[in-house]
Amino acid sequence: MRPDERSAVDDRLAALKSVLERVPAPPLTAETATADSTAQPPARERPAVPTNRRPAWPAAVGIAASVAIAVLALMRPWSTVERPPEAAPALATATIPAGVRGDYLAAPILVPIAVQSVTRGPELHYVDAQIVRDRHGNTGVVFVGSIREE
Amino acid sequence: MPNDATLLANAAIGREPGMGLFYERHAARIYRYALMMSGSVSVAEDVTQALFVHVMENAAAYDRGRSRSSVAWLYGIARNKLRSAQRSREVTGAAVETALAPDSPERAYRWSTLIADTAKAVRTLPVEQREVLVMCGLQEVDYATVAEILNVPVGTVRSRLSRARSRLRAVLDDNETSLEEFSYEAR
Repeated sequence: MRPDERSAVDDRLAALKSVLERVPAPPLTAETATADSTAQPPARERPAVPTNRRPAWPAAVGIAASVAIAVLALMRPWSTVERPPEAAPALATATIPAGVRGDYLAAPILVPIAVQSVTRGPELHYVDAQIVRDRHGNTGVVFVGSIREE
Repeated sequence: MPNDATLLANAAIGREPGMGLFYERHAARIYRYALMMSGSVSVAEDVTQALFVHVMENAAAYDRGRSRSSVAWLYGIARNKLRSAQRSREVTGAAVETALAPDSPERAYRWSTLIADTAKAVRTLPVEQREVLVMCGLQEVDYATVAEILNVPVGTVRSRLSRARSRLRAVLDDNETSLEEFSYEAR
């Protein structure tokens, strides 16, 4: 190998090495942590979730989960929830069936969601949702169907 | 700073510092090794997790007087977990290039292309050459430890590394992206 060729390969490897060294370890997952419940590190010692890695789940799932969290926030305390005056128009008054919280764990369930129709104003619709757990132990809420009128 | 044997002994009885510090000390190295060897983010994550679960479950059995270093021990487990992971399923999901993507948008495309091309070129190497290149060339594991991990003579490690570099050079010859424009980032 000629010196200049060796240098080119080494430069490439050095560049890759410099990038690789910035790749953080995956966070200690629940499954790992519970293998020995006494062995969990303090929160400050846990490696941060890498910001430059693609999430394990598609972005759409994340978005759906975020929306669902907003819906769930409206559902508290699992009874009739009135839209506060300052809330966005899309979050209109929604009536949540009593006991939905218990049912929710037996997913999928219908989650009521208020939709602002351009032509008809606020309307109550429903969407199938399911609490799911991925192989890393992360839980999330996923809409498994399209929004429909009831 | 407690050594690895002390951390594992603590982990075995649930005392701190134990598994948390051990994970913090070694997880990134193992994850990066698995990432470069498998080319898959999900495989690397699973291998890293499976490895540390194995370590937790076997912390009490770790021989403090063993001649093998903890680093060599971990790499040995990682190699086995990688083999199992890649045998048992088709590798899917985000590729290593995703994990290596730059944080900054500045010249991100060409920089990531260059890095991705290099990472891909490394992936084309035969496993025997790739693991030596990753450990020696990218993770600065010394030749003696690599020889211990692979259970081969040091001379074999050197020759595999030399062949890996030659092959890598041949693969990269086709790539027109120059490292010079990124010189300040690469140094």
